[in-house]
Amino acid sequence: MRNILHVMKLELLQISRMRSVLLILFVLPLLLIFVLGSALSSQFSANEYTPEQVKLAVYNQDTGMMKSILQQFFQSTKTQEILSVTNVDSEMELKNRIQAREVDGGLIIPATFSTEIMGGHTADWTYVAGPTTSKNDMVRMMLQAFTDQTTQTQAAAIVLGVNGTPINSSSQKAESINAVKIGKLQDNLYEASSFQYYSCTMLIMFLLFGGMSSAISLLRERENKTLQRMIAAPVAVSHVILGKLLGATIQSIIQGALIIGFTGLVYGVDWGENLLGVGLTVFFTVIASISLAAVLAGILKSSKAVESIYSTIVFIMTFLSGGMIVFVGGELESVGKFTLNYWANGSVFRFMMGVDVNTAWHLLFVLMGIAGVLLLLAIRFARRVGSIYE
Amino acid sequence: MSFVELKQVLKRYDTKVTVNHLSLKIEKGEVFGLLGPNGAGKSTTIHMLTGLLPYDQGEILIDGRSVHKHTIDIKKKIGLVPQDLAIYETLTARENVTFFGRLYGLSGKLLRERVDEALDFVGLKDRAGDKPGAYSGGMKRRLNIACAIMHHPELIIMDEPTVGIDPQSRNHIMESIRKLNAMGSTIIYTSHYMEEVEAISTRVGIMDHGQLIACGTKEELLEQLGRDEKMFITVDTLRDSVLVELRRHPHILSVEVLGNELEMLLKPTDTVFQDILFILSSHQIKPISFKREEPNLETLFLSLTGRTLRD
Repeated sequence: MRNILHVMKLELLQISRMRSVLLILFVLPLLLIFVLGSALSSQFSANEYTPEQVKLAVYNQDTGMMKSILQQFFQSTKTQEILSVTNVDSEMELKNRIQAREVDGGLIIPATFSTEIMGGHTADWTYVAGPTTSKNDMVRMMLQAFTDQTTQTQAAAIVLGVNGTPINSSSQKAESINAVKIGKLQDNLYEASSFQYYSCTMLIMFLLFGGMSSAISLLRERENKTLQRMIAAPVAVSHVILGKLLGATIQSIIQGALIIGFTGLVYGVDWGENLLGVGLTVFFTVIASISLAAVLAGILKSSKAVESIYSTIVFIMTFLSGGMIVFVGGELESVGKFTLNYWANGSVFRFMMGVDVNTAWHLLFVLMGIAGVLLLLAIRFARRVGSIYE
Repeated sequence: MSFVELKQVLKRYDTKVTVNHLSLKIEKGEVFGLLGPNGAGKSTTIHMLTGLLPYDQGEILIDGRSVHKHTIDIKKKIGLVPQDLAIYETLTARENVTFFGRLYGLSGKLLRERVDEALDFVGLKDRAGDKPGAYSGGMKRRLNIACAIMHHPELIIMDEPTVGIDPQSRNHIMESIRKLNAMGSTIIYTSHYMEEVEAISTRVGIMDHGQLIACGTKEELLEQLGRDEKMFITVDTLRDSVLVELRRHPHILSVEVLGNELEMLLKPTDTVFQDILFILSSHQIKPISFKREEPNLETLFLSLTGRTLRD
């Protein structure tokens, strides 16, 4: 037991002497939180943002079935939240109105529009841009979504053999075209600030990097032959490995406490009232991280291999879990479930925001399970590190 | 009862036998020089002696106790000076020695005294607060030794402790070994420098292919060598054909070429010298100078293994 403590103290002493490691483990996360938190704060603004209504002039030359459908689309409630449509009689009038700034943009529907759509082809329209880029982009997106959906529906109808009864003119159809979806990042983030979000994700990412330093340290002991000298002393190999991993665990816990304390005091990050939940998540993330490191140290032969493979794994896991860019749904979020960060971030974040705490505990229990499995694997593989023969 | 005893020790790596039924006895207070070319099995033997590596067959006893059964207790009696520098660059010399001292169960005042003593012994007390990065190669080697002796081991195993250092540091280390031996430690010493082994060893063992092929005092070994002698002949020119013929001669044990010089190990007979001259003249080679050398351990090593120690 005393030897485990000696080795643990040595590990901590060595870390405290390595300036580059101290910078990476303790300063870099705080810096990254500051940079990401400041740079992306506008995306995390908790204020409601409703896009300004766009005035659109429409010169519709089409006389087919699509004319009335398009009309219904423009008159639907959702569309009207975004678009205010004025019909004009000529292209010239449309351009004049844009020039006079009476409208923000103009849409010219060709005479062949219905024919193209009914034939299952891609239909073209012409958009005459106004002076405001963001408004132009918004109209383009909406119109594109409309034509894409109608074209797809008609193409499907043709393929399924119901030609002749294509898109009908019922208002239900036009309403069902989902061209408008207003959302914001905050829908997934419980009104968190960017500093809260990145404090959470960077905390988890750097705790995982802490594990990497323990794996590298273990393999360097073997490479530098100090492991040989240690186990030539009356010390069990398992005590040496345990001492080193314990040292790394303490270092990671200090790192976690520093990130939480510093961001709370200096950046004003509110870590919420459920600090037990946050603390437990940090602890089991550290266990999972150190165990993963021990497994890799047992499998890989050199510290350089561990460094490159482990850091790649951590970066990929952080990215897929939305630790760098926030995902609002989609496939990437589903893939993120296969990462350690997903469970740890989700748990800390909910504890921090004090919302959906039951889910937070559920995520924490899953994290505990992952940590447990990794720990068992670490026990199985870490003995290999103790071999002085590589 | 010998202090160190290896009985028919066998070690295999997969199917390759690295130590082949090795038997050896080393008495308390001896300085035992262990020689052998690379791959002879010296390091494996040392690792088995220190409990770093299990053996497959046989038994190793230190002070009458099995290394296999009493590994932790036996390790307390041993100080290993590894071939590689096994020290922490981020710690000072004092912190290095202190750390390893703690692993041997030393603590408090005794630990501090032993650390000072060890650093003083290797001549690093004045630089105890410096990190190894500020040391010369020789000083690092001395620190490597200090880390192995602070717990007053009864058996010190030194695996090539003087590799790549300056003559001054080498002399310091050689003197330290004599002092440690005088203080009662038994020493097992491996080196590629034959003169070091000759100078400090009370007995020498020569290993090759995992076996001990010769063992005894220097005098006993040279006796074993018989009257084999080394001869150096400088010639005006050399041809491969003459080397082939010389090596075929039954009383010429080995022939090495160093530029225009032939280095030969001979079984001295009445005719061998005449035979050499005849072979040279038959190949139109003219001898320029001759030199005979008394047999030594290097000669013996060459004679037994067919290789020089540095091969």
